[in-house]
Amino acid sequence: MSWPLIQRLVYEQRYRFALELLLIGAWGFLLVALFATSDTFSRMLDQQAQLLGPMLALTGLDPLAQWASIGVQHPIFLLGGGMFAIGLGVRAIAGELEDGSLALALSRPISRRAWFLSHVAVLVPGSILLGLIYGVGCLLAAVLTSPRGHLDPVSLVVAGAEAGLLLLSFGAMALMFSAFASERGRALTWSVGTLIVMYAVSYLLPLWSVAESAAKLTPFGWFAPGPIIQHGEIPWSDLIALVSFSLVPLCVAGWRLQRRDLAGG
Amino acid sequence: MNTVAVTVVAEMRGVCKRFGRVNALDAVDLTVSSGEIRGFLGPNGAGKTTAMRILVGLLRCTSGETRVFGGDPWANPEVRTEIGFLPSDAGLYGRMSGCALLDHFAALSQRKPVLREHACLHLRMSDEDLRRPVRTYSKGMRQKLGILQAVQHDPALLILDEPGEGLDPLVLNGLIALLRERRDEGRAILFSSHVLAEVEALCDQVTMIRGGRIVGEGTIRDLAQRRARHLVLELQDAATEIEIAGAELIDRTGTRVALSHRGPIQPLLAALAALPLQDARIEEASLDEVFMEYYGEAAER
Repeated sequence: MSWPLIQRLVYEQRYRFALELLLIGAWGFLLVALFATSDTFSRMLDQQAQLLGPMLALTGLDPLAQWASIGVQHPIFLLGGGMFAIGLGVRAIAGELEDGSLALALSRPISRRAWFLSHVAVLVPGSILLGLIYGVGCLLAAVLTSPRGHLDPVSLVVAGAEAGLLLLSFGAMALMFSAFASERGRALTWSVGTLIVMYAVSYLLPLWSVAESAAKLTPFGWFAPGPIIQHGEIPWSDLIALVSFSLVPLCVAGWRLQRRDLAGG
Repeated sequence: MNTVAVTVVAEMRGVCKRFGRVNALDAVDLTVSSGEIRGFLGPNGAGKTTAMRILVGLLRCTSGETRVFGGDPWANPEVRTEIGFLPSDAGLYGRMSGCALLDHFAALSQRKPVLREHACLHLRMSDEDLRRPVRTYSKGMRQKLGILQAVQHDPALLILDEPGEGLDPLVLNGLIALLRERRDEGRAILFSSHVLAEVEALCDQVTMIRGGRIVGEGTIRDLAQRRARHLVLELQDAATEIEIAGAELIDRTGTRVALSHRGPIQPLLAALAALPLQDARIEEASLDEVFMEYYGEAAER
């Protein structure tokens, strides 16, 4: 890894990442605060949970745990957290190649492996932090608004870490596409397009009984924060699967970067 | 000028590079030695940038051998500690200040920016300029910053892809002075340019490339001498017969004769001495002509 490179990446991300943390934290806070203060909203939630329960692994959970779980599977969370992970992944290779800065940096005594690992070193804690901050927002709202039900801090940390692993898999996929592309736009299109398809496969295809297990082909299919928030159980198989969904594209990206020509933007 | 032992710092031997079906380089031999400024000339798409990128390890050659400080720049990133590289499309991080960007690249090079202040003076870059964010820079300022990041750590090999692009004449003179100074300190410099006056003013050696093949190499003087000279003779008598080995008649009007001549100068001078001349003028081919002639020939081939 290259420490100057990590410093630069952190410097570049400082405002955007702080805003994303704020957005995700505020999202967690807002959900629990709404739940605590609006009866109509709670009733609506109960109805929706009955409807969507089997799909989002919400069956048998407390309303508050259901709600906190929905929040972390909601497109707003995925978009807010995904912006960081996908943005970093896409810029890491294709973006810097297009800008002409990759040629400058790699003309220095930095190996491609160090370049790649430095980006991973920023991507991993950043994604996990975004997942954790959601739990912090929920907990803060729970303390301030005393909603019906209970949120356990440790369980929220575990669920946050799982959400972070999901975001990490987005970033890993973006890095993989970035390693194959020469333009930021192409890498971004492939990354976002693939995520949309996987989201649809995960949440819509299972409604059709023939394709019930199709969700397991995507990281979303292994992401079930509801039981963690309610019971504090650590779903090791889910965590291992989510780590694999990050590791495989990261290995492919590293392999590709190691071999590809950097012919310029 | 200091006396510095000359060593080969970078060389390519029989290097070929293919991008799919396109043959970007074809059996290229190139050597850059310490204490030498080598100009790399060629039209757009000739293969200059590809060759330079192979030398800094950004591209892997399809066949042949590339050595920089004795190591393969593709496989050994550590050999790049002694390289300063300016690509033609250098991307500089716009949100950083000029100073922060230079600090960043010095840190990546694992070297202190010992030459920064000195190079800033040559390139007319003030502290105030360096404090501004790079995104506010003009094209020329960006180019100066690009040159600074390449030279600031005083590398033993400078590879500069069109460094004069976008610079005003004052700064260009400063750059030429800076590069000559580095050459005199024993640094090796490989640079490409389309501005032949720049090459003529600066280079010890020139390598010409076209269509991925080296079509000419040597000192500017050597190259010019291998080309045709222009002769304009004023004869005393319009009827005088002229026969000079290697000379070709271009125009004859009365006592005025225009010839072109290829070959060594001594037999030519001897032949001229035997002629009844009122006046004679011999002009060496300019670099532009050499350049055009080389490319014309290569294109015909």
